[in-house]
Amino acid sequence: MNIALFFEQLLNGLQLGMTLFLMSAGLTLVFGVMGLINLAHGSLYMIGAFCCAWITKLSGSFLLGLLAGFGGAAIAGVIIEVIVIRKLYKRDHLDQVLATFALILIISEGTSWIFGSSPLYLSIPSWLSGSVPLPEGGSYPIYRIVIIAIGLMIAYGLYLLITKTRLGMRIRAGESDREMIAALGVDIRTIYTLVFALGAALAGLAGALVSTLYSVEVGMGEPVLILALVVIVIGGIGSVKGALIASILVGLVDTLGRVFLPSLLALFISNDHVATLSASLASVLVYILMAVILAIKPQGLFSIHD
Amino acid sequence: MISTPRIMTREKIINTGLLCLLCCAAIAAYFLDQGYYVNLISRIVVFAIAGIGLNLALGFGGMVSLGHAAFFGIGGYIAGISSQHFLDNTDVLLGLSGTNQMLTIWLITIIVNAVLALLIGLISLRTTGIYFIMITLAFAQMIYYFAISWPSYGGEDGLLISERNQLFTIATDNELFFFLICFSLLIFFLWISSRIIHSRFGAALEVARMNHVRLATVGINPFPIKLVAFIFSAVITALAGALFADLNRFVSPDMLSWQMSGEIIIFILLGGLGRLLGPVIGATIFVLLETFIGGYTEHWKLFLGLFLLATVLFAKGGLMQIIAGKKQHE
Amino acid sequence: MNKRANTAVLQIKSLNKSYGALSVTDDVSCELYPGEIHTLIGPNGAGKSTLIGQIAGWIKPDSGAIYLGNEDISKMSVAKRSRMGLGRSFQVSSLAMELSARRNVMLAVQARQGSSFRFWKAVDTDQSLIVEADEILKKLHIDDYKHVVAAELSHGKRRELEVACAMALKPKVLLLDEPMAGLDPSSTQGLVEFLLKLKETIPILLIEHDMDAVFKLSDRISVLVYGKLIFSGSPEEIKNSSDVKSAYLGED
Repeated sequence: MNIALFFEQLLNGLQLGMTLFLMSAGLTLVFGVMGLINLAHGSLYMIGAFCCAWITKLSGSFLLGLLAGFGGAAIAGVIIEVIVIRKLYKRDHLDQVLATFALILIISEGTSWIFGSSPLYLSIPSWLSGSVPLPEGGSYPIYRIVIIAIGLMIAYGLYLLITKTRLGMRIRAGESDREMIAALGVDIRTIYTLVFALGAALAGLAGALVSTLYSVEVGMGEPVLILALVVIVIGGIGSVKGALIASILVGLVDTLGRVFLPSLLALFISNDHVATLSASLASVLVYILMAVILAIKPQGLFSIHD
Repeated sequence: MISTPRIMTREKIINTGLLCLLCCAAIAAYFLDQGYYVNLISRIVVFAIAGIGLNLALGFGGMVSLGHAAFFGIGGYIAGISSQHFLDNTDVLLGLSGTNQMLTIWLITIIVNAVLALLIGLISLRTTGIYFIMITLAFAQMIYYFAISWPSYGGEDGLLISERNQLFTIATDNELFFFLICFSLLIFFLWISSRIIHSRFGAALEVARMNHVRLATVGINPFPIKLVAFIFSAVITALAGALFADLNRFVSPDMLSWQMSGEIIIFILLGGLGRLLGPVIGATIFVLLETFIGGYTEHWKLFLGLFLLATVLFAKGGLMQIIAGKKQHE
Repeated sequence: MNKRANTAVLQIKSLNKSYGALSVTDDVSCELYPGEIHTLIGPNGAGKSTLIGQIAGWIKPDSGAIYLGNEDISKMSVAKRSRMGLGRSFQVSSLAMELSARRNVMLAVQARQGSSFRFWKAVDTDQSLIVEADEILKKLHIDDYKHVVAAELSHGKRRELEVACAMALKPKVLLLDEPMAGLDPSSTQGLVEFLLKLKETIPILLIEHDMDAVFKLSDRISVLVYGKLIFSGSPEEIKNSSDVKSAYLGED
């Protein structure tokens, strides 16, 4: 097997993992703290990408675009939380699923009404293009390495936030201690809005970061959302640490599986059907991973409810 | 809240009236030469059957499956694949030839989906709450991506069914005949599910939803009860899928998508969760919105979203609750 | 006592359960004999509910065994234990709240008949369920409420309904977790009389805080403190024990 290719794919997996982490951190926090399952999280990712693409085109600065993606999604998050999400905390999961499914429909159709249905494209700014050499003669784009670095920085930032700050303490107190927090005289509504906005901002950042890699279009959020849901379920819903580990795991399994599973299977059997079979198998590998993990640990790897 | 038989009758009158209305509308449309509208009503009926299936698991058993599109889509693919092999005169696999006989296709649909639902249920029902939602979603996604990446049956583009499958020698190409087949199945499944939910099994299933601790305490293990309900539910939804493929003469991975799963839940919710005819009402609202608002703007789902959001936030219980009052228990 | 040792209906043998460093059940052994009411008392947090949970099967003990008759039930599921003849009521009512009192009892009758996989015949008109359910409701004097949904019953009536559901299982043993809590004095009196009659046929392991009722009902009382059984004896012996006084009845 080609070592350079392997390294390249390893980094690709890591990059996908970091994007997924930015998505799933918010999802898992919102579930852990407020007990809410938010399917519209993918819409916030899309909002981030659109804001980034729009502002970058207006201002010519990708940095401003990133900021807009982060901020735009945060603002959208606050609006959504205040108008709709707030009413769902005490509802059952079915209501939450349906109401946030409705939000997806509303946001997606709204966006395509405003921006039209043709995708937007953004190129990597010159100061972030180029690549670094890999061992054994490969090379790797700087931009993707930046994404990995940002993901790791955010992970560290979240770690500090959760373990070292008062807000983090309240977050860790978690859903079960809702009454306790309220009794401490903390304004719980504001905390919930903040946590939701933080999750939204991270999703928006993820969308903004990949807006130069993929086309920016309506519906881009849902595939990522579903992978992020897989991530938080594997990681144990509510656990940020679990989300980080599961993100990397899912990113690697998905990326490496697609590249290497066909050749791996071909080592053992070779005919046409195996090629198509392995391609199909590779595309469902993460779901198989999730089913296996849940069959063994129904609460995920790092459940906060254990 | 002592049960009041008067309201029970009211729901029954509404149910009967609605079914008659659907049937008469289809027949009238046919004789007014409006084949399009007959097909539209068939679409309502097929969606309603899918909803009746899911309602058994979700409405009565409290299992929030976000993966029923898997069964709906597989039902559709069985109809499509079988028909393709029949028309090409080739084997499906291992010397098994295709068929265009609906009864055979339905039988295969029942068997395949029962086995699949058994496997999915065995794993998924070990979990509860949010994990159950996610794992059913994951299984459906697995099948969705598999269908997309499997080129023999159209992959992403889907599969055309050039001739509708046949029921004996009935001309299924005739819109009214096809409608009547769907409608008969609708009545059949309404009858079946009504029997099931009022039976001993149904009583146990309802308590599994309301309070599984109570169920176990009286000595009934909730797991097999839920599993069997999940299988019934999957099979009915799958049969709707087979009909849907024939109705459109087309199967695509869209039938397997998680949006489809969401829409099947919407059929139930708009009408009324756990109400016998809830899915019929919900599917009617859905198709009406799709057709009439969809006629004005391609963004009709924006309005569906708003409608759904309003229902969840302000009208839990769906339209049936508004017109027939709260659900009654003996 | 020795003569009865091999006839115990329910036998708990050195049960242990701890959560981390906290031992909630500490080497507990006790028995329940035919014809008796054996009451567990102890301060809040003594581990009474955890013990009941382990007997009923919701909580898995770390070690020890539970015998119902001669059968080791410690590996069985909750439902299996109920079918074996372990009836129970809960400290916080656990009923199908949206169903009528009668339907709650009918479910238990149905469970005992072992016939939940019948898909066709309507329950509403199933006389084999209704007749028996109504009999039990009558026995507990709650037949006036048979059409009322559980959610709208008073706290006390729900208590009695739970006992009715347990009775419908025709259990060999009853575990009752604070059945008197929230009952008004006349209902308490009624339930005491009912239990005194009932124990002739079904022995009862009782958890109760109402000490009047405890002394009226119990043949034997065991005292649980910090997960340990510190004393077991007749009501008279309990009243006279200085250990129990200091540990539990300290206020006297």
